[in-house]
Amino acid sequence: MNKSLTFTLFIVGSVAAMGQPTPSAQPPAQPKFSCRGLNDVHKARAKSAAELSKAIMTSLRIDQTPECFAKVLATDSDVAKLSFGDFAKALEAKRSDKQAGSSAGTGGSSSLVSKGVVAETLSLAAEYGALTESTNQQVVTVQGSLGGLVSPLVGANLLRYCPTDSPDKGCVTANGLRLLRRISYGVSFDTSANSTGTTATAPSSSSSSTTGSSTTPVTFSANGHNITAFTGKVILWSTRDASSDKFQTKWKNTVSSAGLSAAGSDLMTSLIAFLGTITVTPEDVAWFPTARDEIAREASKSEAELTNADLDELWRTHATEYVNRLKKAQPDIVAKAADFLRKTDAYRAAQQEFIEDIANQPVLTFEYDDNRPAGKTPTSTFRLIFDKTLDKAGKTSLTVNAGATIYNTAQMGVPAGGSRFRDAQVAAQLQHDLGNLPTIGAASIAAAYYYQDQTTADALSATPGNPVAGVTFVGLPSTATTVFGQKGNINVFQARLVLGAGTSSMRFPIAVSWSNRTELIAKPTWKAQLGVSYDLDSLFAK
Amino acid sequence: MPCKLSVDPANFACPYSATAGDTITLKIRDETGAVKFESASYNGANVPIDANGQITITVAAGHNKLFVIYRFSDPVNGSGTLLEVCDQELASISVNRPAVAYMICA
Repeated sequence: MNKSLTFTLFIVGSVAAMGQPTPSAQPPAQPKFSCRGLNDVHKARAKSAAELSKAIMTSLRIDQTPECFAKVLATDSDVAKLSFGDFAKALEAKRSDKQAGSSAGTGGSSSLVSKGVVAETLSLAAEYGALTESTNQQVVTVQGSLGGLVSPLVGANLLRYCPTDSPDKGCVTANGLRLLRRISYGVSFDTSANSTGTTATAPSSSSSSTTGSSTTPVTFSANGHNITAFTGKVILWSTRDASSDKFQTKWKNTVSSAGLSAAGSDLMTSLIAFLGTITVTPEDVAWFPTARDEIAREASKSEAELTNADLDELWRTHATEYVNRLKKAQPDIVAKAADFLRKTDAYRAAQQEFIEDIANQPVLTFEYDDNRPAGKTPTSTFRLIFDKTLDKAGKTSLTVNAGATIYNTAQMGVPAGGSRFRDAQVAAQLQHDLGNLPTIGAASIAAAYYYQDQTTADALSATPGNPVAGVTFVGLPSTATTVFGQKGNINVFQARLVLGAGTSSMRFPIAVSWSNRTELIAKPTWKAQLGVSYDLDSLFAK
Repeated sequence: MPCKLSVDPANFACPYSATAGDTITLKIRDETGAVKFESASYNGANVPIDANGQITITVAAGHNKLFVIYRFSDPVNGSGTLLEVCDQELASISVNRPAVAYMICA
């Protein structure tokens, strides 16, 4: 394993370690308080003082924000619970329908078939291998959606969020965010070591005579590209999008499932048990305006002066004062709060399941790849991607690709008038999620087939005497600067296993492929591909 | 239709007031995604959700809580507003707070 892959693993390891307590001689600090119910206060910081005040008053009523008060109450208890944040992380970690690595055909990919869905926030992947290429490459890919770039700005109050029908023009609407989530980008970096060559230029006679030096000035001549591909994807059609009009219509017309009704009923019972016996005391009435005014004063500061995390801590301080009185009056309130938290999580899980059941629909995506392979003419690939889940549980899926590739310019070393059309391609993949396996975590297996009709032979610029690393040419003149591949059909079969790592979103794709030929070598060949990727969606899910 | 609920968010003890015996119908305005009543309970009894997705209660004397569970089509950003049918805004609804209670004093 060379330096770059090791470096990427280090980055991934660092990301995976975020949020873990760091060793220290100091006693462990109390974990930062976080509660979804306070997100509405965060959002209101970008709005008017009246709206902010309203959001703060709502947050300070246990009736209106019971989950956050329950979290303060249950902190001292040893009641084990799975928060929704943990649930969302676990849900993202279970997913195997996203493409984290580079697209098919970009070189160094471990995926024979492109998928339409990528990480919303960001994913990192390092892959090693080759599919239709003759030599292995190592590629690092960064991917994400435009929505993933904008959502944090909204969360940080750098961009305002407003209802869809708002006449205000200076804000991001739900429709705008929905559109941005459908557009994704990817950049692949070729980290292979042999991407740069050097050419020594002979010293001129004049410079030698004046300096008397025998030093040879060297000019560096890059024969590769550090960025090997740009990828853009647009989801053309998806009813999986929970905010699409079609989905909402279907959601409204679908009667609640048995599971959701049962979870809702349990939550109602728990809600009544938790809040039903709480009465307002004169101390509470006196506490309310004091807490409201102090939080409002601090919340009106800019986020540079007071972060949302600090605001949450301030809220917890005031809420603790309230719940301490509550605990004295009702010793069993902690157990009720813990039960309410569990039932809330169960309800959210049932709601998510209900949504996924009715959103289990196909996705059609258009992909554009601007490939810049080392030593070759840059190409553009236009591809349609169709994803469909085949079973109700969403464990088995079919992905079909159809695409074509053209050369961006006339090929180097090819006489003018040569065809710009490089190839047409189709591919299909059947994938089955194995679920969470003991000690391994999420795992999936896939079988894929790829067919490429290459109508124009690739021309590769070559270093004289060492044409293409890893390939031996017989009878090639030592002065040759261009070598040609072969036209014809390429058939590739691939078996792929993707392993997870516990409940994290780290993935290790391991694949083996057989092809009847590669772009240069007209003989059957076996190849292996492997990689590591990390999907940061699970990290940011809250 | 005249509004029957008085709203005072600054009143910690009684944010919603009405006259005992008043019949109040509540509805939801969607903002991000769609929002529905999943279930509601008032004065010890389940409150049925009608065909229009609205709930109706008869205000009881004293301080009583209306308990509501909401269902959201958008599990991440879902939001809406709780309205009296006279279109008076009563409270914001957020996917971050799917289970809530409203204290109604009469």
